[in-house]
Amino acid sequence: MPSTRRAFLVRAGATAAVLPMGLAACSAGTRGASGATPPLVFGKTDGGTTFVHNFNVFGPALEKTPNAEMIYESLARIDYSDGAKVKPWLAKSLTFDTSGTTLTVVLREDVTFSDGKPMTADDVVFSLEIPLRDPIFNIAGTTYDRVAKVNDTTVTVHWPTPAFSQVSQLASIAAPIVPKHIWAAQDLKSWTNPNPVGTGLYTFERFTSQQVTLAARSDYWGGRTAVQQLKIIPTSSDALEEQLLRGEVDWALLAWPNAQQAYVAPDPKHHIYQKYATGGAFSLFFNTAQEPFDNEHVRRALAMTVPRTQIVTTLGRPGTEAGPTGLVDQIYEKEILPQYRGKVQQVDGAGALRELALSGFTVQGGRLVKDGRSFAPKLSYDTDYGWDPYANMMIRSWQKLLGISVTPVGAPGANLYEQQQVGAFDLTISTTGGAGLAGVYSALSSSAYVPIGQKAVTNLGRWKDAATDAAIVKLESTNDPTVIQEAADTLETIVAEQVPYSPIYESYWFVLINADNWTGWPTPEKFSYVPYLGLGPDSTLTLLNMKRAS
Amino acid sequence: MAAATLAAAAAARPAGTHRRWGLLGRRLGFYLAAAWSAITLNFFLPRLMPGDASGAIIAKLQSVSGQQMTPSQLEAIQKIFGDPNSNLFAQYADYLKQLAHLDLGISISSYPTPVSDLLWQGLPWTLLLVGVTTVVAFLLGTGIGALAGWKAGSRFDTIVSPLTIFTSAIPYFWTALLALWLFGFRLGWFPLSGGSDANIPSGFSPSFVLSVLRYGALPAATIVFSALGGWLLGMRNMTVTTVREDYVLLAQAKGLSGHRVLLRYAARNAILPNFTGFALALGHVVGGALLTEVVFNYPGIGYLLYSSVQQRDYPVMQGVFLIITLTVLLANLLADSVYILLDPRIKEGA
Repeated sequence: MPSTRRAFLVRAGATAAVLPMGLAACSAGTRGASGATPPLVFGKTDGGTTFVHNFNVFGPALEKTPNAEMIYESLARIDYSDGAKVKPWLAKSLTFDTSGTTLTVVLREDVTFSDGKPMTADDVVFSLEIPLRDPIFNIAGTTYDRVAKVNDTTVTVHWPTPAFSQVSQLASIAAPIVPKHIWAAQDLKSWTNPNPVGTGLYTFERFTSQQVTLAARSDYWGGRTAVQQLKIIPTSSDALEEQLLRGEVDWALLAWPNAQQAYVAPDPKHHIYQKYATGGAFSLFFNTAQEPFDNEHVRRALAMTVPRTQIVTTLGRPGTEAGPTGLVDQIYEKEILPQYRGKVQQVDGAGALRELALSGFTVQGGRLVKDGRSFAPKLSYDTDYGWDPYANMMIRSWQKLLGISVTPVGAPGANLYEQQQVGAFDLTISTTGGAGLAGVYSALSSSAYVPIGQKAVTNLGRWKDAATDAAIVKLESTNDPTVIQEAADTLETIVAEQVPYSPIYESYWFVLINADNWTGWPTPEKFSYVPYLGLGPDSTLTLLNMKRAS
Repeated sequence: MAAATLAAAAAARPAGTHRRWGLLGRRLGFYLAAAWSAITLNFFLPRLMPGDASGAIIAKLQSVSGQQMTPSQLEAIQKIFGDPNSNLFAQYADYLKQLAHLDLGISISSYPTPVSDLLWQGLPWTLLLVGVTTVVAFLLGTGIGALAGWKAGSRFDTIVSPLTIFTSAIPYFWTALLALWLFGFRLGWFPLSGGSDANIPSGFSPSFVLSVLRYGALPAATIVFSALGGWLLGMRNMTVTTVREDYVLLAQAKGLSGHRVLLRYAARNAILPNFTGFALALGHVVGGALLTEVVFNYPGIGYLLYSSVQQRDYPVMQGVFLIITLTVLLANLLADSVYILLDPRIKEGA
C-alpha cells in the first residue's frame, strides 16, 4: 500500500513537471497556414473573457455578441472627419422639411440582405417602428413618433418637435435596419437571433464563447473587401499588448500610455498607435444647484487652477488639453470662436485669487466661508479608470494656489454614476460631448434638469439658465448655418465664461494596429473615416480599403 | 496481527456502525438547514443592496442613449425585469418554486440567456482548471511538506521551507503576469490568451483536448506554484510535531522502515488539518479563479461573478452564489464523512 501511494505521488509529481514541457513542444503558430489569405483578428478588451451568442440588436440586454454592426447597418453615419456631421449610409439622402419635424429618407436601391432579398421601404418602416411598438426596444433613445412609407424607396420620419439636430438618432448602431421577412415572426423579447441576416459587409460564420468569426460577402452594396474573414476574440489588456507584438492580433482599441516606446519604436512601419478625437472631453463638473458652486466666480477660480498640462503629460498624451468651450478643435475648428480656438487653459493662480475675492467667499482653514456658512468641497471621481493621480493633482493645485482643501472621494464607476445622477456630489469628473453641436450642448438644457435627489440622465451639474435654454432651442430648431453659428457662439461663451463645467482633456479613440498582414489604415492626419470597430460604417470603410501586406 | 484486528473490528461493528449512521444523519439534517438558510440569504441579500435590476437596466440604457426614459418605457422594462415594489415574500415564493424546478432564472445583462446557460459556459473550464490545480497543489505540497518535516533541519528542509515561504509571499497576479511575459511572450512556449484554440471546434476531438491542455498549462502552473506553499508549510509543520509523538518513537523502536513510519504513522496523523483545508478548497473550486481568468483571459465562473456584481445582474449572482454555497456544503459533508472514517478518534460521545 505505501509503495503504491508513493508511486502515485511520484507519478503525479512527474506528470506535473513534464506536462508543460511536453506541451511546449507542440505549440505551433496560431496564425494558420502561410500563403492563404489570413483572417484579420480583432482583440476586444472590454467584453470580458467570453462572449454570449445574441444578435438581437434591439433586445434590452447589456451583453450581446460584439460588433453586430458589421452585420446590421443603419440609415446614416456620423462623419468625425467632417465636424461630426450626419451623412446618409443606407439612405441615399436625408432631407428635412422647413419646420424640421418631417424627415424624408430616400433609400439606396442596391442594398440586399445576406439572404439575397433586397432591402425595401417595408424593411425600413418595420425596423424604425420597432422602438415605437414597444419602448423597451428603444435602446437608441430615439424620439420620433411616426414613420410612414411613401413609395418603395422613400420613407418619412416624423418628430413632435423640430429635430434638425436629432437626425443622429438614425445613425445609432442601436437603430439598425433589419429584414422584416425574418424579424416580423419573432418575439423580440426572448429571441436571440442566432443566425443574423443583415445588409452589412460581413455575415455570421461561427460562434464560440471565445471567438466570433465573420465572413465577407461578395454581394455587398458598397463593394468587396480583401479581408475575407474577420475574427473577434476577447482578450485582456495585458495579454493584448503581447499579442500585438507577436502579431497574433491585428487590430485593437486600447489606450496604451507608453505605446510609442514599447510598441511603435521596435517596428514603426508595422506597429501603429493612433488617436482620433471623439469630439468629447473629460470635464470637471460643479454641482451648480448648491452652494458654493452656484457662484460663477468660485467655479471660475477652480477652473483656472486645474493643472491641465500636468495631467495630460502624466497621461502620456501631451498637447491634448481641452479648450474652454467644450468643443474639440480637431472636429469643430470652424465653429469655435476665434478667441477660444486652439486655446490651452494655463494655470492662472493670480487670476483665480481675483475671482475668489469677487465671489465674496473667503478661505478659512481650507474651507470656503461666506456669511457664517462654510463649505468643505469634495471631488468625486471614478476609481475604475485609475483617476486617483489626476484628482490628486487638481486637489494639490487648489490647495497650493487658493488654499482650499478639497477631499478626494473615489468610487467605482457604477456607484459614481449613481451619485452623479442624483446630484450627490460637489465636484466630479464626467465626460462631455455628443453628436454635433446640439449633441454637445443639449446636456445644459433646463429640460434635462431634475432637482438634487432625483435621477438626472444628462445635465448632471444641474445647470439652469435662460440664455442657455434660448440658445439650445435655437440650435435645435433650425437648419440655417448662420443661426446655428450664432447659437453656438452664445453657448461657447456661456461655457467658457460662466463655467457650468470645465473641460480638462480631450477624449480619444485609441487604435492599435499590427500591419504585418494588412495595410491601408487611415491616419489621424489624413482620414475620412475612423478605424474604430464599433463605429459601423467607419469600420466597414476601413475594411473595404484594406490591402494584403506583401 | 492483521487477523486479530479484523476480528476485533467485526465485533465492534454493530454498535459502531449504528453510531456512525446516527452521526451522519444528524450531520445531514444540519446541512439541509444550512442549505436552506444559504438559499434564503442568497435571495434576500442582493435585494437589500441599494439599486435593483430594472434600475440597472434603465441606468445603462439611459447612459447609452443620453435620453430620459418615458413612464411607458419604465413600465415596459419593469414588466420584464421585475417591479422592485412588488411583494418580497411573493418573490421569495416564486424563487423557491423556480429553484425546485432547477430553474435559475434569466440573466439580466445577457437577457434573454438563462443563467444556467451562462454557468454551463464557464463551469467546465473552472472545474477543470481550478479542480485539477487544487488537487495537484494539495498532493504535491502535502507530499513535499511531509518529506521536509520528516527530516526537519536536513539540507532538503533548509532549502525547501524558506524558499516556499518566499514563493508563497509573492502576490498571485504578479506570478501570473511574470509567467505570461516570460513563458508566453519571451519564450513563446505557451499561448497568451484564451482557454483553447478558438479555431478548433469544441468537442472531444483529440486536437481540441490537446489545445485545451496547451492553453491551460501555463495558468495551471501559476496556480499550483502559488497554492503549493500553503499546503507544504502546513504539512511540514504538522509532521515536525507528530514525529516527536510517542507512537512514532515506538514505531521506530520496533524497527519499521523509514517510509513506513512516515506514511503510516506520522503523515497519516499530520495530514488531518491539511485534509480539512483541502475539503474547503474543493468547495471553493467552483468560485473560479478571477485573477487567473483576468490575466490569461481564461473562461470561467470567476469573471462571470465579477461582471454580474458590477452590472447588478442579480439572477446570475444568485446562481453563482448558490452553486458555491452548495458545493462548499457538499465538500464539508464529504470531509466530515471521510473524517469519521479516517480518524478513529472522532466518535460521538467519545
